[in-house]
Amino acid sequence: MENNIQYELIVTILNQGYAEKAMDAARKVGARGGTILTARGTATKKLEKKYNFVITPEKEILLILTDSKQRNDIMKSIIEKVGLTTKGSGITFSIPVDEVLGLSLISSIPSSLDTNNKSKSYLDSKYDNLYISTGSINETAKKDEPEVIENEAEPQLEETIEPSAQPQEDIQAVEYKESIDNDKLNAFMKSKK
Amino acid sequence: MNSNMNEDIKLLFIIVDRKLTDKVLADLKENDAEFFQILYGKGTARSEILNLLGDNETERSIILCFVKEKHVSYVFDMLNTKYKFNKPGKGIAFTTSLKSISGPLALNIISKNI
Repeated sequence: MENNIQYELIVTILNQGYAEKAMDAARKVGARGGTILTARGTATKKLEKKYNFVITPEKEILLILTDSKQRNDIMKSIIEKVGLTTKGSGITFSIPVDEVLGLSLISSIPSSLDTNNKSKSYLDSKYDNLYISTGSINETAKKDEPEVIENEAEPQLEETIEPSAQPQEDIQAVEYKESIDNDKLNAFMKSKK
Repeated sequence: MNSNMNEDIKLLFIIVDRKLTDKVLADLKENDAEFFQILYGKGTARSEILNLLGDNETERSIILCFVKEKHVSYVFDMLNTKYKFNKPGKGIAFTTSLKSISGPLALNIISKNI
C-alpha cells in the first residue's frame, strides 16, 4: 500500500519561535504533522569578534514527512509565511525518502477520495468541526498575533506625519476630542493662531 | 567499490515517544543497526483529545542509525509488531540513501560486517 506513494522529508531551518507558524502554514495546505528540533546556528563569528561576547543564534528545525505531490504547496506556503525575507528567515529543502513506516492513515485517505479538491474539502470540513469545538481558545490565539503587528506598524506612521503638520499643543487637543469635525477643527486652529 | 558499498547502507530515522527510546534502542541493536544518535524534539501533530486539553505538543525523540538495505524490512517488521507503528500516533520510521562517506574507516564504523 505505502509503496505506491512517494514520500519526501521537508526540512526547514528557522529562527526560534517560528516553527509553529511554519507548521500552521503547512497545515493549511494539507500537511498532517511535524516534529520540531531545537538547534544552534554558527553564522555570527565576525560579530563575536567585533563585540567580544558569544552570540548563539537559536534556531529551530522543522521536519515534515509528506507525499511528494503535496511537497511544492507546503514549501511554498512555508516560504510565504516565514521565508528569508521575513523575521523567521527560514530555509526549506526536501530530501527523498526510500521506505516509510507509520503513515498508513495518510496513504489511506487520498486513495479513497482521489480527486484533489474533494479530499481537501473532506479534510477541511473534518478540521472545521474541531476548530468549532475549541473555537474560543484558537480564535483568541489567532487574533492576537496580527493585532500586535498592526499596533507596531501604525504608531510609527502617526509619529512621523503628525509632528510635521501640526504643533505639539494641537496634537493633544485632537487626541482628547476625537469626534470633532474637520470644519470645527480648522476654526479651532485659526482661533489659536 | 565504494559506491556499491554505500548504496547498500541506509540512514534510518525513527520518531518515537521519548519514554520508548531506550526500549527501541535495545531492540534496534539486536537487528544489526549501527551508530545510534538521538535527537530530542517535540511533535506538532494534532489529535482531538490533546486539543481539548490544550496540549498540542508531545515530547518525541528522533533516533538516527545506519542499517543495511537487507535488514530494513526486518527492522520495520520489528517496529510494526512490537511498537505498532501501523497505528496513527505511535511513531514514524523512514530511510534515506547515503550519497557519500568520509572514508573507509567511517564506513567500517557505520557498517561493521561489510
